[in-house]
Amino acid sequence: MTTITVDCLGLSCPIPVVRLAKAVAGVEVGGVVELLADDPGARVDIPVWCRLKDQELLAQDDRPGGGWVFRVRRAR
Amino acid sequence: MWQRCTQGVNGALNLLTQPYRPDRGTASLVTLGSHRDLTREAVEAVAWGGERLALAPAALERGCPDGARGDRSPGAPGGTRYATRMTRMPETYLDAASTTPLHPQARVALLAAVDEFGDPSRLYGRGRRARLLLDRSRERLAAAVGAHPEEVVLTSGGTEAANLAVSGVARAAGHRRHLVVAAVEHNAVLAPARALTAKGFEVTEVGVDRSGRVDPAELAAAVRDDTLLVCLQHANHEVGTVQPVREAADAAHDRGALLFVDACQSVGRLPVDMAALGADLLAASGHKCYGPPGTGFLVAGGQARLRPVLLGDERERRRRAGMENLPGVAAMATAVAARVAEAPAEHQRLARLGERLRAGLGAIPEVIVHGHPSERLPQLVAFSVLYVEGEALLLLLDAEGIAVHSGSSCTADTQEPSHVLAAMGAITHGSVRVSFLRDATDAEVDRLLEVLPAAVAELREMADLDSQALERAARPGGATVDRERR
Repeated sequence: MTTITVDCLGLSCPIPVVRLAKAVAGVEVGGVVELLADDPGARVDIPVWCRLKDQELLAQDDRPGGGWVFRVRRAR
Repeated sequence: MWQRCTQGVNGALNLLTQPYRPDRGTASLVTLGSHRDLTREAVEAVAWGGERLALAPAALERGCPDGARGDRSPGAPGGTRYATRMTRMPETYLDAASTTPLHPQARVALLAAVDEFGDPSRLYGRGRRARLLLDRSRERLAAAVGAHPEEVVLTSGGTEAANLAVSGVARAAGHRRHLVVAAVEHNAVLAPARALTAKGFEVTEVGVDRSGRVDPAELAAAVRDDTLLVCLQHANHEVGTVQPVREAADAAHDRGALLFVDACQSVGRLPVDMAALGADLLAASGHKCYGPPGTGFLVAGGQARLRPVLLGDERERRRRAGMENLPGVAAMATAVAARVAEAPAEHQRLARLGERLRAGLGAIPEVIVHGHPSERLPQLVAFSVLYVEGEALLLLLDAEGIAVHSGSSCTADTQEPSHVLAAMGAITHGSVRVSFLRDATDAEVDRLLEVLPAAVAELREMADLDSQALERAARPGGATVDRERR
């Protein structure tokens, strides 16, 4: 299975969501996208986007240096 | 883009009062006058006369600027020609939830009161006349929301009214040291409530469902025997959802707590009655209800003990010090009374405009409409456009003469996403709030639906390119996009 890491640190919304959407579309079903983001909007919007798009948010962890790591599996 | 040259005031006014033709788009007007004053006068006359035309007078410039063709008239012989450029755009103002223009009746009341100076606290004739006007205004405000005149505290606006409700009740508190607030309250409620935690108060925030509505059972469960105040807005300012205020009142009163209702969005739009809502305190804003800015009021019912926040005299029954804004109050009272009388007849029409807009939004890909399907303000439609920055969309619409509000402000003064949308579990980027004025038309909905799809498409294309460029730029530096096989 593929894992793609997308680094959106320092980028404000909606770019993290745009890039997540593109990255998820680029992996096969079951593939995982790891998104790094530190925009406060991403903390809210990434989980909501996963819910709206029926994609699986595997984890959302704080990064030691600030921001979060979201792990999203393409579910469909 | 079209430009015209006219001479003097009359030519300018004639041109600008012509009906707007959409095919012309932005119009630029050059007014020629023989002397500076004439041109200034033209600018001012047009700016005042052209209500809702979005006139933006540019700085006075000498001579007719390049490109000004058409009905060019020569300047007055021997005089210096000054040209003033103005952009004439058909303004589509769709941000009534932020602020509203003066109601014509309120304007009359404001102008009538503006020369009637006098301190209502003084006993001589001028003071008594001022007192009379103040009392009459207070009675109208009280009648509009089903309150007693002596319960009305005049303030500088809804924000001060909400601050006074929360902080004033807390200052008068005895052993009760707990507040319950909805997570989607306006910051004018949330901020003073949170500030109380530094003074030994405890604050419980009650969440909302996806539609932005508080669950009455959850709110009731949060109310305790030591709860002093429950704060629940009548209608939400960002998504228009109407809250179960009556149930909240019962929950508060069962435990001996007070209910404060922020009604800034609903007065003059929905029926607002202290008894029907079960409110002990209620805040309203003048400028959101076709009154002047700098006016508002708090109703503090019989059960509500309140200590003032502004100190210095004994006005407003010792609940708010400071000279009353008499012209503003007279205008606000007139506006509120007029709106309360007019609103029921407009409800259906505005709701239908909202429905049309919602239906039209359905044709734009990836647009999510927020709020409650039925329990909501009639004139407000909130939505998020996925993958688009709200403020960028706002600016593109502004360039087309359409004024809407964006709740998400990633680039502006606040970095935090909208706390209302976050509490709802809604997408916070690309958020747009459309709210109609009382006289909104189908043409305004048409105009928005004509412009919006292209603006959205343009921004999505830019976001796509932007995103690719960032990836390209980041790649040589290291493993920004890092594929690994497992």
